[in-house]
Amino acid sequence: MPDNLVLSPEEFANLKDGDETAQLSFMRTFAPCIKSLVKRRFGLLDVDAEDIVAVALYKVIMNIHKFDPGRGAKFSTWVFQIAVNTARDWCRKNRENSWLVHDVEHISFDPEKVQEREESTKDAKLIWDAMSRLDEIDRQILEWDAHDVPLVQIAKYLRMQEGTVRQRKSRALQKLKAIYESISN
Amino acid sequence: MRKDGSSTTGNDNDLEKCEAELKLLAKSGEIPYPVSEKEIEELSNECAGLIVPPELEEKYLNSMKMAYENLAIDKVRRMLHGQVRVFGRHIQYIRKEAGLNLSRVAERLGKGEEFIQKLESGQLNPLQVAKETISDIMEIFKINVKELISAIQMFLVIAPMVETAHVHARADTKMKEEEKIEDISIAVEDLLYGASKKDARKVPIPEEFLKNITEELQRRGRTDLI
Repeated sequence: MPDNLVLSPEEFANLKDGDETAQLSFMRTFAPCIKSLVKRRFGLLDVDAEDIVAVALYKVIMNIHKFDPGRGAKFSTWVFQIAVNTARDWCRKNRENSWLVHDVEHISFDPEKVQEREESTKDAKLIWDAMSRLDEIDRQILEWDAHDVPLVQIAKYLRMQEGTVRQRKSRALQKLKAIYESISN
Repeated sequence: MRKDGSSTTGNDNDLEKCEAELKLLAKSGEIPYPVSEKEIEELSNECAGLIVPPELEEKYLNSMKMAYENLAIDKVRRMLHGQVRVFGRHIQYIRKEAGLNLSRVAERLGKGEEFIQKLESGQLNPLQVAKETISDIMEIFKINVKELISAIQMFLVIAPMVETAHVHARADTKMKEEEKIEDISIAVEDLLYGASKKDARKVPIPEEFLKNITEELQRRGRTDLI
C-alpha cells in the first residue's frame, strides 16, 4: 500500500471530526487517484469523472462513522470501492442500457424482452441494495467470489485463513439471502 | 443448522442459486471488480504529483462540507425524537443545533438571508412560499410531509396572536437586545402553542398546497419524505 494513501489513526479521527486541514489533505491525496480510477475503469470523460469524485467524496464522509479501522479493512480500499460503486451507479443512471451492450440479445424492442430486461435491472438493484447492507468484509468476500477470484487469493487480500473466508462466505450468502428476501417483500 | 440434515440441503441449494445469481451480476458489470491493493499502488504512481486545480478543489470540498452538514442534521433529527415546533422555529432549531449559519442555508437554498430569517421568525407564511423552496427546505432538513403539516398547523394557529406577543416582547426589552427578543418570542410562541394545541390539529392545510409539495418531492425522487 503506497504510504501517501495510508491515514494515521489521528488523521482518520480528524477527518471524522470534520477538521478542515484533514479534509483538505485527504481531498488532495485521494481526489486525483479516484478520478483516474473511475476514468480508467469506466472510460469516462474528465467532466463526468469529476462529478463522480465529488459524489464519492460526499459518500465517504456520510459513511465515515461506519468505517472501522480496527476490523482490518483498509481505509483507501474502502474509499476506492465507494468510488467504483458511485461510478457504477452513475453509469447505470446516465447510460441506461450501456452495461448490457455486450449482451446483444437484450437490445431489442420486443416488449417481452424489454420487460424482462426491466425486471432483471430491478432484481439487480435489489441484490445490490442487499449487498450494501452487508458487513464490509462480507461484502468484499462476495464481490471477489462473484468474480471467480479463488478463495486462497481472497484470504491473502484480506489477511485471513482460507477456512475463515470459506466460512464467512457461506454466512454472508445466508445473510444476503435473508436481507434480499426481507427487502423484496 | 447442521443438526437438521434436511434443512441444510435445502438451504445449500438456495445459497448456490444465490451465488450463481451474484456471478451473473458480476458478469454483466453490475458488481464491479473489487479494488485491489495492486491497483491502488498503480493509481498512486500514476497520480503522483498531480495537483487538483483550485476550482475543482472548491467543488470537492463543498461536496464534503455538505456531507458533514447532513451528518450534523441527521444527528439533530435523531435527538428530536419526532418533536415538531412551529414551522419557522422548527427549521431554526435544526439549523442552529446542526451548526449551520444563515448564510450557508441561504447559499444552499439559493435565497437571501433575509428570506430565511423571515421564515424562521414567522413573518412569512409558509403556505405562500413556492413549492420548490418548501421542497428544498424539506430536503435540506429532512422534514417529511407529516412533520410539515403539523409544523404549518402550529404556525397557522398561533400566527394571529404572535404579532401582538412580539410587540410586547419588544416593549419589555431594550432596543438592541435582538437576541433576547428572539428568545422571548420563542418562549411566548411556545406558550401560545401550548394553550392552543388542541385547535392546531383541526387547522386545515389547503389540499392544493400539499398536492403540489407531494408532486414536487415525487419528481425529485424523494419518496422517503412523503
